[in-house]
Amino acid sequence: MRLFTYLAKLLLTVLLLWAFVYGLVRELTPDPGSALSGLNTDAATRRYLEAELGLNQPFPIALGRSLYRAVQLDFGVSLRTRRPVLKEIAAPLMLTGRLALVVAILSTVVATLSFVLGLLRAIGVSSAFASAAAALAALPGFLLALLLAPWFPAYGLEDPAPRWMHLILPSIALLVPLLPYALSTGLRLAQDLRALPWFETFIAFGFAPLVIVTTRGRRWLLRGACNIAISSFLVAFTGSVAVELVCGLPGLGTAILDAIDARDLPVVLAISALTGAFASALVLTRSELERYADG
Amino acid sequence: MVSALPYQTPSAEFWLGTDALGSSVAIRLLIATWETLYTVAAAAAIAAVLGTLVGAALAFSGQSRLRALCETLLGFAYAAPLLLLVLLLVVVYGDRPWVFPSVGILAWGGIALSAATSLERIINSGFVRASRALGATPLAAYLRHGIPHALPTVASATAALSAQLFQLSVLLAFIGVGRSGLGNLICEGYEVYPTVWWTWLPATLVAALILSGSAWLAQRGGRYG
Repeated sequence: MRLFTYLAKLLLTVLLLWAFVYGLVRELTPDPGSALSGLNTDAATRRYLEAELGLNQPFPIALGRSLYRAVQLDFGVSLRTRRPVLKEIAAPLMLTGRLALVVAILSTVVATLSFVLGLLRAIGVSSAFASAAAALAALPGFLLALLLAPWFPAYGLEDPAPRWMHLILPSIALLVPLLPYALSTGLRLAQDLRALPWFETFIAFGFAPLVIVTTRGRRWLLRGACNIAISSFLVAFTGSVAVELVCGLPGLGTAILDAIDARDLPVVLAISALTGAFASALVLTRSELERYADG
Repeated sequence: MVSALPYQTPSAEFWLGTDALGSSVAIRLLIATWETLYTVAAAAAIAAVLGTLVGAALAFSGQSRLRALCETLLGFAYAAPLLLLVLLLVVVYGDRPWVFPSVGILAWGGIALSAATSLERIINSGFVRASRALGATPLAAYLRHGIPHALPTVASATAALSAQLFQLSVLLAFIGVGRSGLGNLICEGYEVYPTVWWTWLPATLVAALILSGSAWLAQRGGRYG
């Protein structure tokens, strides 16, 4: 039943998101053809785009048709390269996904270390630390990438440097604002765990904190790890647009900016809808895992 | 604002040096900061007004179903990355002055829920119950006690949203799809001549300072809410 509710929620969110994006593009523009393809586009491209987006059909029919095609992962053809959109965005999607995964793993490691430290030394989160953390967390990754560029040079993919090196600067730029969040999440989790009566009882009987956690507190660990890993992945995945631009990384952010420059609307729509659907799936998964961990 | 020599180092005459066209970087920085701040303030004000009104209505009605619906809608709004929606707006409508402030219409949910939670807590507190027992009408108790006590929470949520919107505005200008502002100044200086640090570094630091400051204020304000 829980799985069914989760899937229903996920489907509803994705449908709403797709309808919102499609409706925004189609209904709120006085002349969708020229607004979407640009005033200087030739008539053939404009006709193709109008047919592709169903602009010559009533809204419900066009929306249903576009949803049916999206479910089949058919997002049309890129106006710029004439290749299928999915093939066009597959490589950037993988690259941004890999970057977000690196950031998520690193922040989870930091959170785990701070959790262990908080558990062993009973360190809490002070108000001064929370204020400093909030100030640091507000810094956007691309400004950090600019400031760190002299020390961690950016490598484009065409650079002869090993492939992992092009992820160093963007990973650091995306990770630094997340560090305070990872640290405080780990410390707060340890603080909450130490305050539980059953935990105090085990401590009174002479059990080591780490032994108690690995035997009795697995749900707590799962809750904390899921929260930090999924949140970090989301922040890195959706926030990498300008970082990729600064670091010369041809990821999803660079792809959407190029598509906007070229008014390649099928690519813009596909990236917006896919990223939104993916983000909503992750948000829902996180809340479901938290609910499971809470018992 | 215009000097004869481009790329002059910072001096008593030009505090932050000059750019490629010989314009004073300090004056350009002031103008860019103002441009960014007023668009962000407009968007944040729209979100604050909408959020407070919806939050107040939610708390006053006491309808748990309405609250649940609002939370579901808010979850949906969180799922769609704001940056992509704004990018889409810019693609469809172009670089018009109302595009960024209209983001406030999409981003009021967090303020509404904070206001509703705070107001519900105050309405159910002992001193408000006492004033009701002494004859105050629900609306009078609400206006006299509820709204003034909920203001720090609303201010804190608005400050947090302002930091997010400021970051978005700088980012959009930096990637060249938003209106001119701090991001535009940073991008222009960094792309043309990264080693001439005074053309982009001061703008970067000002942006970082404003962002950290507003996030710090939001965090401090949240403790009084």
